[in-house]
Amino acid sequence: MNAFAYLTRPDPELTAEEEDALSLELSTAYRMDEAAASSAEVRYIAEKVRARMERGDAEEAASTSGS
Amino acid sequence: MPARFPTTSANLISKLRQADGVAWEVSWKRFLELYHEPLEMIARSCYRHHTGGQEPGRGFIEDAVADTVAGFFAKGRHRYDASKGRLRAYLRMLVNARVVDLLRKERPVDARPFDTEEASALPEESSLEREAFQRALLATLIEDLRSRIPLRQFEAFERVKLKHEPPAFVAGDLGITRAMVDRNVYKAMTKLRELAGQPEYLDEIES
Repeated sequence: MNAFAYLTRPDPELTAEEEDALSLELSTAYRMDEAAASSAEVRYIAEKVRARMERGDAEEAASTSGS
Repeated sequence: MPARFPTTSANLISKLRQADGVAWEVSWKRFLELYHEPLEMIARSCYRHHTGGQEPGRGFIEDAVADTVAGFFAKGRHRYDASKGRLRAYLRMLVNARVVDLLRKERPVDARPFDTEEASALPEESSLEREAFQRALLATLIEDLRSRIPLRQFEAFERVKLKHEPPAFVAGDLGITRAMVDRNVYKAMTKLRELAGQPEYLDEIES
């Protein structure tokens, strides 16, 4: 069962095992997010995204001024 | 949760689902941080699917993810329409299209070109891919929670539930009673459940 299933269950009372499973999934997602924020790989992809968006904006501006 | 992210009045998924310009106010960098893992998995899976099981290089995956995110946030292009399906399905379609675009550029001129049907055929969604998307969605939910409850309440929840610090230690460190820590964590969990039950999350987790 995934965390959303635990969180959206009509009966919010969880067994100790379910509490542990939910807690583990929450902390895993949290740590994944923290790691991504400081990841060199994500930073590198972000640079590529920025370059593509700037190129897209420049192309849009050129086509607008040309029309 | 890192403190540098701005709080938002609506959650990230809601913003992406809105058809008006509000959707584009969501930070693409934040989106990349939250969703890069499932996007990379989808790109790998699509590459294998279209190349008869070959493994993509690191650069190919980075380009596919970067093209997807740039396309997703480009004004007036690839606009996400929630009425046409879930974000998860839309992202799979978008990543696949970018992978095919990149493969077309890579293919030698004498290679057989993709036909339309072949290019749009998506691989089966793996359990690993589904789990990665759910992790990203859960991280989105936690960020959502952070912007919806008092800072001190979130701090108690973060330290006890996310960082697994002993509640008694957190109480001492924050200068409050253990009972107050428990109460803050309980309130935060109640809010987390309420947020998880919103349609935008429920729609995404339905298999």
